[in-house]
Amino acid sequence: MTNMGNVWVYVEVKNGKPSELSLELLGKGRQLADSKKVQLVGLLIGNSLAEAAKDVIGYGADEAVCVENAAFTSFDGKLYTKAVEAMLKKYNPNVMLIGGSVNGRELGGRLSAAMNIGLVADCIDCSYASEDDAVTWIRPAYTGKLFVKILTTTRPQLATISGKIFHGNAFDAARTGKVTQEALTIADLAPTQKVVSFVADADVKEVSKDLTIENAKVVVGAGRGVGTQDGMKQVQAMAKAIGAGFGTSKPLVDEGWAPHDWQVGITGKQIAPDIYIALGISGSIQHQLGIKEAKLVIAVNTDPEAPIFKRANYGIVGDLFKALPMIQAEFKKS
Amino acid sequence: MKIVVLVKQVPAISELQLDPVTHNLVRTGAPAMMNPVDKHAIEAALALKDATGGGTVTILTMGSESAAEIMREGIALGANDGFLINDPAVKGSDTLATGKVLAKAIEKVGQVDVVITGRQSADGDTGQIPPAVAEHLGMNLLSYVQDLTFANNTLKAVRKNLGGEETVEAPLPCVVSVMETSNTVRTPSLRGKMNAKKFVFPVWSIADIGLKPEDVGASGSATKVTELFMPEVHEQGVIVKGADEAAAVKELASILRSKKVI
Repeated sequence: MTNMGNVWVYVEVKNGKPSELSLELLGKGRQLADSKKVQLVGLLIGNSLAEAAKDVIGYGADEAVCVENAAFTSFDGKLYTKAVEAMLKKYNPNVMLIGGSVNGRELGGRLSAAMNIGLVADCIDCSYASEDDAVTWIRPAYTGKLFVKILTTTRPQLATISGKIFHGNAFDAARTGKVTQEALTIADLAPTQKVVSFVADADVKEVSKDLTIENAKVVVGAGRGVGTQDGMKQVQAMAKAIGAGFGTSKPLVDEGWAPHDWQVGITGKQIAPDIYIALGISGSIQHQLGIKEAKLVIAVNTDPEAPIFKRANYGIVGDLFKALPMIQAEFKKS
Repeated sequence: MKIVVLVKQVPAISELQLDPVTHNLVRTGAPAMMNPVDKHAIEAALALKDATGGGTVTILTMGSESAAEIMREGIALGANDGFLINDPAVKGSDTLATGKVLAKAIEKVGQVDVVITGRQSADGDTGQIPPAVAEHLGMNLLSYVQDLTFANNTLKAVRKNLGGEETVEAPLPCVVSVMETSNTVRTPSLRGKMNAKKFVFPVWSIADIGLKPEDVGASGSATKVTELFMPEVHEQGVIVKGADEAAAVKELASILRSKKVI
């Protein structure tokens, strides 16, 4: 494919560094670019981006395009969209990957509307599947029952991608690349919203000292098999008793029984515990992607055909409530 | 303060069926409900109205005629009125097309100060509508909000972002998307329920909101589902058996102990 645009990654910058998620996207972006022999470009919007730009090159980009302005010190959706739109129009990339963070999702949705172009959410894979310049996007759909392949009919092709789906490249300090500074000629560069306070999670954890599904070595997950909110609470109590973190599948969040913070899955949290105990969870794709990095998965489900048994290292076919007391007794010892 | 709440009718969670040819959700016949987080969007709107000592809350839905039933829940809770955008042309709209429709409808409501939505829909699950609507209307966006307050003509939102908890302020007009945990939804009053029962929601076609058929539906969309498929199957794990569940757990625990996993 000649005259095809490059592969771009929107690099979210936090404390002068590219976010972890942005580095993961640079890893995937490198593969995409290499498969079509085009360049990988990282786009950075912010204030004092010199260090982050070096990182972007070191993590695999051929070029870092930086739009620096004091107005970009913190994220302002309207302003950032104007800046990114101007760059996309100037450089005409073929595709841009955007991290599915709070700000990334806002940017993606705004760009789609502003430029009248398609946007695919929460992709779990993408590739150039044919000779032309079309990226085939893969995402879970229908509450995670199936995967769908999606094509975007407009250019640049845009998608948001959640964390821990792709792996970033190792940092290579010797890599060389181009850093391009872009000045913006947008009138009225004043931010209209402002961040008035920020408390980092580390500090929040310090105060609560709670086990979370992200830091617990053992996580217990509850699914629709709990039947009722009270049933879910029984499982939650067991998790607490054995010192495990507690998470749920998406349907329990959709029911309003559990906050979104507890949701394990592609549109919730991706977790990596030593042991994951899935109780009454059928194991939709959406959920399985959230436990991709779990070292050992144990599942209890009444349905022997439940997809979770395909992912589980050990399965028990039966009623989770009958298994609950013995799980508590046996796992408390460990 | 004039507030619009965007709500969506979604299929009841476990009942989703797919059309094998078009790959779209089969919505006819499936039990439907209000997208669960949308109730919290309505509550956020009513609380904002209460706190500012007046104004109106308008429910806006794009959907089939049956979507009026979920809009009634909004009236029962205390919303003033609502409009249903119902037009065969919108069938097959992706988020790009849906964003246009909702933004145009909000413009038709007119003079709106705040648009409130749930963080995302349980069926589509993209969360792309709030930013799309905000961009079309030139409004700020406070997304994934845990706590919302209003003072000095400014909305203040607490949300999780960039590995921490941030407090963000934005002036009106503004779009807000809320989390399930942002509030506790009130119980509808008897009077509210009575109002809801007889409420007639005006229906808008896409022509009514100033759009053409080609702006919406498949022709106004820029994404296309080309294939549905099942995930690759992992190697089957071991099914641990026992006389009953307790015995099976005991057996499993001894396996794990012998492997020094626990």
